[in-house]
Amino acid sequence: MRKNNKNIFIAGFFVLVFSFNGCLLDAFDTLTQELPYTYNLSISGDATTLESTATVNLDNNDFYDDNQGKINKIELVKLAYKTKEVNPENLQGNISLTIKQSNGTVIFSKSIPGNQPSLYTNNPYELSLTQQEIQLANTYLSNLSNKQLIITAMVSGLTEGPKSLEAEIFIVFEMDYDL
Amino acid sequence: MIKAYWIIFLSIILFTTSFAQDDRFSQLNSDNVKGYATPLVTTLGMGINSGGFHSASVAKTFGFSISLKGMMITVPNDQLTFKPSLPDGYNTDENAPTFWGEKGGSSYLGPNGYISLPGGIDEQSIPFAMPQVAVSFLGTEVMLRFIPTIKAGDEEINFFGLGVKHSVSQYIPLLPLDIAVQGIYNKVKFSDIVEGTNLAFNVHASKSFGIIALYSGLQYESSTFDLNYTIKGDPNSGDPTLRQDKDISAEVDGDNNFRFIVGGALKLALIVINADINLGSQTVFTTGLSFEF
Repeated sequence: MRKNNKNIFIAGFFVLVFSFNGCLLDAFDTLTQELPYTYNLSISGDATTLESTATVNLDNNDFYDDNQGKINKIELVKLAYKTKEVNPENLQGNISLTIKQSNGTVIFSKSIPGNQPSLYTNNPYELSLTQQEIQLANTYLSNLSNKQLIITAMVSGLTEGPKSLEAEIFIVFEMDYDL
Repeated sequence: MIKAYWIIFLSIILFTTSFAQDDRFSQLNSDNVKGYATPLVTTLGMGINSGGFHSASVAKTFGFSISLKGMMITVPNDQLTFKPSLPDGYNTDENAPTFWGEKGGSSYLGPNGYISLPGGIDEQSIPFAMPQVAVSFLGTEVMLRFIPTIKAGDEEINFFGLGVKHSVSQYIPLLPLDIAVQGIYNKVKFSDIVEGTNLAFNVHASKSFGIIALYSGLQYESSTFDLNYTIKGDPNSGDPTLRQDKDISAEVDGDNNFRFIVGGALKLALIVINADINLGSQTVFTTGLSFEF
């Protein structure tokens, strides 16, 4: 009887160690990382409404590229706008960003507050995305063969005459992949 | 038995190989790796420096023991996040996850765009186990912890520990309890990627009541891990130090400096079962099964 108790204790000890290590092993199965992307947009002309487009390629990140085939999920989590240079400096106009699927279907469109691009020179503005907007983008990205998004920046309400705007769009995707 | 042997050392292997096998460290510059990895180094130190004794009694003639020590280390909430070091113009009001923190990473917006930091593994209860052998003679005990070289992929893991304990109470006649001092040195090495050194000095006392013994101790300790990894350069990162591939060598100190230990042991002939709690930077619950005479 005493020997049985000892065996039960030893067995219990190992079961405990095995069980907890099992939980810990699970924690190393996958890795979630946030991946930053930067895109430059250049807008110039004389019209009262101007726009420029950039294509987001998920392949443009080494973390993404190195782990293709092991990715479980990739989601858009953050989006920001920055003015790099604006001419004339006191240019006034309403800026909006539109995110589209690679076939041109609009996912969502957002306006940047204020009508002076110089407000955001070296001072990026993070757009507040609603759950619905994030969900729409992520539904598209949930098909892992969809690796491209199109970003269009449009400035409207401009006065006629020559003008130019250099902008940067910052995007963060969250990627979950197997190790 | 071989499987059990592997599982026992799994904790050490997992922690060390994670440096080599996943990308989380490659998003950390030499400043942020310290904030991110300090709780991990603390946990490794708390685990490795645990289980050094369950009695202050040391055989005056000859004694031998072989033990298996199991630990459960709990990481407090304040070690799940850290304040990152970011370039000027970046707001660090929001903390980033440490190695034990939430799985999702974090991104900070500033003049150069987003800087992304890795997530953790979302664990607060960490198991740890190790075997040890001790031989005592004339009031002095030498304890050995050792695993031969283990292959983990292309890399190798080595672990070695040595402890020396000496009975102080043998010099004090009629003392109603046993008192001993102990020093422990442990080294863990994972190829040239991770190398950790742990030191501990303690004074402990015990008192036996038939088959039951109570023990307590105070321990000073330190843990230092050298971490070597490569930053995977990302031209999109807002942090200029993360834009190009770069080898990083960082020395990370654990927060484990002092601990108080209290516990009890049940002696059943040649078998001793013990359990104690270690209160320090992290809390460790230790159990042990020893065969000793």
